[in-house]
Amino acid sequence: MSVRPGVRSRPSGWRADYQPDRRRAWYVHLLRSPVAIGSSAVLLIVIGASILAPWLAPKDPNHIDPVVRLMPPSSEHLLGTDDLGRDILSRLMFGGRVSLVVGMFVMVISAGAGTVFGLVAGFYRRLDGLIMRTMDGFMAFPGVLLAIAVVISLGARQSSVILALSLVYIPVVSRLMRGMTIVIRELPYVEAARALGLRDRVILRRYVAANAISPLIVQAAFIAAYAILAEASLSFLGASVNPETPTWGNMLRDGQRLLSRAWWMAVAPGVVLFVTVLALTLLGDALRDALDPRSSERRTDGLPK
Amino acid sequence: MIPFIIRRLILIVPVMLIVGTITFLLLHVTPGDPAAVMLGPDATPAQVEQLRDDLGLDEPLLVQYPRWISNVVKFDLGRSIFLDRPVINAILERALPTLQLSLYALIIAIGLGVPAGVLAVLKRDTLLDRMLLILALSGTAIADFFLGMLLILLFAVVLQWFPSGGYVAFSADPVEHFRAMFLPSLALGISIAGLPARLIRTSMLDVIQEDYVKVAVSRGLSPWVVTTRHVLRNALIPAITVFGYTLGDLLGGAVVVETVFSLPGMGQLVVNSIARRDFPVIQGVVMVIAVAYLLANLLVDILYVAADPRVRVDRVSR
Repeated sequence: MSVRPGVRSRPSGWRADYQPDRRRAWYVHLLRSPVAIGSSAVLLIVIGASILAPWLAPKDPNHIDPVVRLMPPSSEHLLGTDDLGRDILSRLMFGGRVSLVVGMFVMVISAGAGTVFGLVAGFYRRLDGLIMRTMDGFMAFPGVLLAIAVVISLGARQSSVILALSLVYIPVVSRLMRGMTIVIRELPYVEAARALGLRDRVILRRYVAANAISPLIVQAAFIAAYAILAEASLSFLGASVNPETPTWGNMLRDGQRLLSRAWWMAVAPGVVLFVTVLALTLLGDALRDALDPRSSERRTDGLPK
Repeated sequence: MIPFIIRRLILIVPVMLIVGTITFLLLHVTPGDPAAVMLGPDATPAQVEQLRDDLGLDEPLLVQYPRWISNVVKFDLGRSIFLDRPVINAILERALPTLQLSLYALIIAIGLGVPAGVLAVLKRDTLLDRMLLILALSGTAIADFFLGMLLILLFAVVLQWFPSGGYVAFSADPVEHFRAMFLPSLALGISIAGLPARLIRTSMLDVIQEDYVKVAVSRGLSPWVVTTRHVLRNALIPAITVFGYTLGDLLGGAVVVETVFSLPGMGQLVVNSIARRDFPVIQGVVMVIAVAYLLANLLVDILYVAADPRVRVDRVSR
């Protein structure tokens, strides 16, 4: 699975100047977009079902019952059962917890660390080469492969998966933020701030980072989407959390073995994964349109997975 | 042209060194003794000691690191104790199915993506444009291995048109080869087709604003001729370079998809190594694919400059 949003070295289409009138209207724009409303609703359902899984799930996700093994969807088991007789709907709800926790942590860590590296690389030319060549090195690895190697080295735990996927996406955010910083650095208000004698740290935070926040938010939504997809790939290949814990990826792995006998075992987690990732991607796209009015005509950053 | 290639080659050296360093460190971030982890709980202390010795783990990192780098430069990626052979041989033996799958998927992705992107531009701001965008995003959002399973269900289980897996060498039977490779290539191709579609669309929308396009339109050329002959041609080149950055995704995706279709490629090698904790093999595959990606991008950049002399100056300093 290819899971790395591509980033153009030169951000185009993003405004680097401060336009308060547009900034106020972004949520209005978002609320008017049926795509944004729809995908937010889907995400809320998925998040709600995962958080409330211990109370809402119809069955114990790990309860093995050989009598009802490989049952197709029915009123008793809405999405059927697997080869050990476990209820698939319940496993999906618990599996969502792993996906969402991984997606959220990877998003926050890579956005945070990537912003720091990107700001520093863009602002201090002397560190630029070192930081960005290191990022290039990390980006030379296909995301899933790098993550597999890191997870195998650190041991198959949720924290290793989060760290591994953060390593995949930090360079992506760094490139984006470095590009933004290089543009913003030259703008008159940064010069003015410097002339006022503000410290670099303050300039970076208050002027540079603050004006690069819109693309960062959009990028973060995409990263959450791709991190969830990547975690599923890792689970599918057996390089994620303990296999006893249900995840969408290892449910797909079980489903693959019995594809011709029990299609629902693979289709249920596959569809939930798809819908969740698509909702996040569409939300990211809608956010981009809302935060940057120009981009709705010229949607610039092509985002591979 | 020649100075550009030389400068570009020099630039790739530090990145390669960093790739080598990251790969080296992968083994050494393991909590505990990597040799004990690899051999599992049943190993005797003597076996662990033997493996530590074979891997050179008892020496200081400052000795191990230069040795790893100099071995890698000589294409020596160590030995796999599980396969009982040099890692590089195991990888080379498995490289062909992965490369074939990547190539076929690339052809399918371009064959689907480029026409879709052109269509979106021709019909821009219509419902069709929106639908194509959502389709492109859906292709990106679906897990490629799940798409593979859906294709197996439809074309192998229900319709029985194609085999559900397995590999036939091209030299053994070309027809069966393509029949066996069709579903995996389609799965991987569809899952990355959204990217060329969006790149072409964006790139064409950039070019459409150029003066020469306005001239072509005012000369009364048909929209089709303007689009194909003037816009698409000029839009292709920038799209190709950005696409170069995703070749790694293609290779990475191939590794996952081939496990669904039991193709004996590098992916299967990796998956088997995950269960065995066979570090040298995982390190080797990761390293080889990263280097292949860097070289592919070097090639794309050189072709880009060869095709379009205008960019010679600013391409290097990105």
